[in-house]
Amino acid sequence: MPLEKKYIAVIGIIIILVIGGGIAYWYMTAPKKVTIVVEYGQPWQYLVENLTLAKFKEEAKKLGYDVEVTLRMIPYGVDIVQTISQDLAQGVAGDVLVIDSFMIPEYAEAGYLLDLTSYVEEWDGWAAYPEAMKKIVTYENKVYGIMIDTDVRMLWYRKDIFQLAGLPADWQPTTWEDIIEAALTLANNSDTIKDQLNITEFYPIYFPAGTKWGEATTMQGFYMLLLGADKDPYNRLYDYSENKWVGKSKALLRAFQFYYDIYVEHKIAPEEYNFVTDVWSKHREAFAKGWVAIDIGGSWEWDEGWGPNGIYPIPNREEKVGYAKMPGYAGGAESERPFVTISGGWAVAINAAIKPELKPLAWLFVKILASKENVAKFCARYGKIAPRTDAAEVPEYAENEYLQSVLEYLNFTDFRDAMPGYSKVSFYIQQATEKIVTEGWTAEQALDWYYDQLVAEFGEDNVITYPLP
Amino acid sequence: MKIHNIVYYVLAYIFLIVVAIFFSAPFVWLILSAFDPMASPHFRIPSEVTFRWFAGIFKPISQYYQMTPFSWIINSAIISVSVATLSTMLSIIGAYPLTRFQFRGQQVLLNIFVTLRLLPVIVIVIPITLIFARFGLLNTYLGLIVVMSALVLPFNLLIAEGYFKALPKEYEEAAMVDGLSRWEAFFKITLRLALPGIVTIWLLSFVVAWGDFLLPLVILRDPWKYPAAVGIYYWFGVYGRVEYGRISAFSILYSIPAILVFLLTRKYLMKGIYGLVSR
Amino acid sequence: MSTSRALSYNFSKKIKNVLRSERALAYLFLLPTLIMIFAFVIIPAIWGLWVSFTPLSLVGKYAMKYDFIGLKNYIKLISDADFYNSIKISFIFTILSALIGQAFLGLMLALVMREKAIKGKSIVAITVFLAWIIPEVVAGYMWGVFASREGMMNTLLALLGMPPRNWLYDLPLETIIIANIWRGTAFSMILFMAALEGIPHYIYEAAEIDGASWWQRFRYIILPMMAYVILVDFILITIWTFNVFTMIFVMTGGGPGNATELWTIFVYRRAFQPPYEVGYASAAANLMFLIVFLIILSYIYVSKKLRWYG
Repeated sequence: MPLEKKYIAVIGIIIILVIGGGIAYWYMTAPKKVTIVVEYGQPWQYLVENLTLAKFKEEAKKLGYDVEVTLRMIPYGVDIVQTISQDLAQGVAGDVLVIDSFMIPEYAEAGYLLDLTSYVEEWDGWAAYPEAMKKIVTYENKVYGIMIDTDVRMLWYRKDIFQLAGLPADWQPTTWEDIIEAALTLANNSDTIKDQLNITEFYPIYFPAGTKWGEATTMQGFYMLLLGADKDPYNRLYDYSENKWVGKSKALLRAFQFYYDIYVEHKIAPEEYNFVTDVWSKHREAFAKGWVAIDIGGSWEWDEGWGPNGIYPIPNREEKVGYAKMPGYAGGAESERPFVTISGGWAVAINAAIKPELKPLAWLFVKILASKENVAKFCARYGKIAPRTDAAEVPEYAENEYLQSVLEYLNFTDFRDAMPGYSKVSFYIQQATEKIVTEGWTAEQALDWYYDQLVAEFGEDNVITYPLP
Repeated sequence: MKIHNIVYYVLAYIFLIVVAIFFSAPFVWLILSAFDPMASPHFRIPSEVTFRWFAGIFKPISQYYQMTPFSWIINSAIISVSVATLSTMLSIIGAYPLTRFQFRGQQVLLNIFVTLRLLPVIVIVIPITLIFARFGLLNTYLGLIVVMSALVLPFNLLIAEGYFKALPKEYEEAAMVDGLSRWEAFFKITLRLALPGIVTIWLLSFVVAWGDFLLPLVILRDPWKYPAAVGIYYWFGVYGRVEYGRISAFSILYSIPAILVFLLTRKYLMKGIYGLVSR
Repeated sequence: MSTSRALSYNFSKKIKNVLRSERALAYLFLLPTLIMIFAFVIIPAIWGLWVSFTPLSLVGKYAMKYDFIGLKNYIKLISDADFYNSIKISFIFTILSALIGQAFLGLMLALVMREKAIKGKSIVAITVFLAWIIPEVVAGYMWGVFASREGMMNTLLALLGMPPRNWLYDLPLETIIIANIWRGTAFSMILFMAALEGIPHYIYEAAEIDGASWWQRFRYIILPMMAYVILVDFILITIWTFNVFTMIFVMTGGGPGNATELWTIFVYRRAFQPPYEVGYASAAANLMFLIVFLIILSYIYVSKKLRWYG
């Protein structure tokens, strides 16, 4: 019967197509040679692509591998921490990852990162890292990453604008009051400043706030206030003697109060910059164009933000841009720290889900990426501080005047309370500052709200309150 | 002409002019900025015309990154063509029995399709990523294409059903009387008659897939796999600052296929929407 | 030998009979579709229901952990001020941009498009149309720039003497409502134009000869004849607008703060941004789907009436 034959033929063709398609798909996606995937944010593009890639391929070839490196770059404007967290959770992250070091405890606890303890023990480079840098990447006595850069934070200010307002070009505030006074002086002279710089908008001071900034709100803005807002150890988010999160404290209240003062009370800070599509770009642009005179930010901005190869280069940078240490609340008069800074930094790590046969290659990549030369050259170019002490042996790094001047900040620097759960606490801080900025909440309201969030998240037993003034 | 007629026409013209300005202004900026060497959010007539923003679409993003923004448009094409083809084929063979046979559960099925057509995608996006992560479908075109097809299917089915219903049964029945089997009648007569409708369904699902953002955003992770919608989002900050000219030029290029498809199907669409609505 | 042949003959005959039977054939034809929908829509929906009873998160202690915690997420949800905020924003957005904005503007445009004497109306129609057909991301990008402080919206409003402002920061909800009117009016316009074409011209002309005013014609001829179409349009654009995500996500990301955080953006942010509470986000998504589902049911009911009318 011809008809039935036709059916059979049609069904046969369909089956052949499906199976053929499946095989073709498998063939096309199956690796033909060894491939490792490197995932990193665009700020590390130079380190990964220019400094590491070629060397790695060469070394791998010596070991007899025909290796292809797939580069997965997360561009500016896309949140790197969010992207990598999502990728790790869903099993599609790269083999080698450049991650923000504060996420290491969370990732490690979730089992996302390969334990590198045995690797670093046999690595000669490990000795070059000071204890503090080893501590950041260690969680429960296991090493999960290797630091590739670190940083400090400071007040940035525009010398030229300060002079227009009759303020000294060489500025070093010693209390929070000093900062607000300088900002108010700038505000009083804003018409002159706008005229002279030929700009239409001018805000004296900018502290990042809100969730759009993500971790930067907590790190650049809030921690810089908190650490100097009260004496140790009452100036933290976490109480290490009780092992509890701090729900209420004088330091928290004062830090929120500072946000309230500049954004609500005096209205001298640009609320809307916190909510534009690309907050980083906006903040760099605003400072470069003189829309903002006092900015708080990381040491990398000198080069990455405003250097000749930076994103928004400032001509005559040395004459126009100044930086000052962030003072404590009353400059130490209440036995708090006289000056404050905080260090974060990024680390390179290996995905726990990596194929076993790729482990040696991934480790090779990590070793080359974190080598003395590469770290030093990268840090020198982008104004970051090298976590390896032997970076000073590399001329590019040692001869960088700016970096040498920033190194003194390391004497009084501190680190985040990067415990599991920190990313949530940080998120609540961001939300609380957002409520102050957008809804005009007082510091007390923000603090109460923050306390409620912590209790809801960790339970009342795990939250401690210090007496308020 | 009566006075109130004149007033009426004057008002109508004013209304149309206001509407025209309101609707065209964003486009005016988009087009101007794509040709403006100094493109910025400001409205300005470019002092000179440049094509470098368009040329930039065909250049790799970095020397180590052999990925051009144009490849995102190619990706969009691959995804959309696959989705449109798969879902159109399935909807045709699925819609046929819905119109030609009577069987239990028919009405329930139709209602389910109506519900699914209006389902908020965000509801299934979270579980889809979790399931795909488990079965290795995350970050693959296969995963994206099947889930997108499944989501446009109910929409296609309802249009296809409307089509077949409108086709006279008599041709088919006559063919069957002439000795053709139901299969043959379906393939030889009905499909041929429904061809314009099938093309429309294909084009419509193509456009839906072409513009989709949320699904590829959560399913695809490698930048070189992105379709144009996610590509723009990704590209937005690549230079550390927004380069409006590039994004505008890319937006225009990316919009053209969608505009073409709709202009082609405009005549049908005007009528078709009405029919679709009564579903 | 012969029995086996007879058997196989019977068997193939049976298959033939099954194939010939209409119901089997119908199901067979529908099978691929049903499998697709089952695998990629129904199962995920059930999975999502399950996830909403777990503390699942993307990082930290509950990373990818499907522990059953009962209704905890839902209980937390009903005391979450941000969740209520997102519902409120979604409703305001839907009512003002779809029901009032798009439907009204669409109806006005459709009525004007009917006038033969008015020139240049098709150019206007095409512009309205374009706003609807360009990809949503492009629309979001255009409006994000258009409504910014430096944007062209301020240039235009300056002609009316209004000072420049950052619309997306100062009046975020109002701005996304206007943007969505811009985006979606075309659908209502097209639908109403098609419905108006269905009204025979002679009725209209007869009324004009009788001296009926413009308003009377609208009130007593057009409105009653279009009542059901308008109702269906209302329900459809309500559902679509309620489900809007991309354009607003690209424009504002839900900000500033959560001033434009539609429920879809609320869900996305909880799940895929810190603190990555996937279980919690699923609970919110499921609750909101219930609301959408009720509107869809009303749509099915009304559209059936409409067909019966037509």
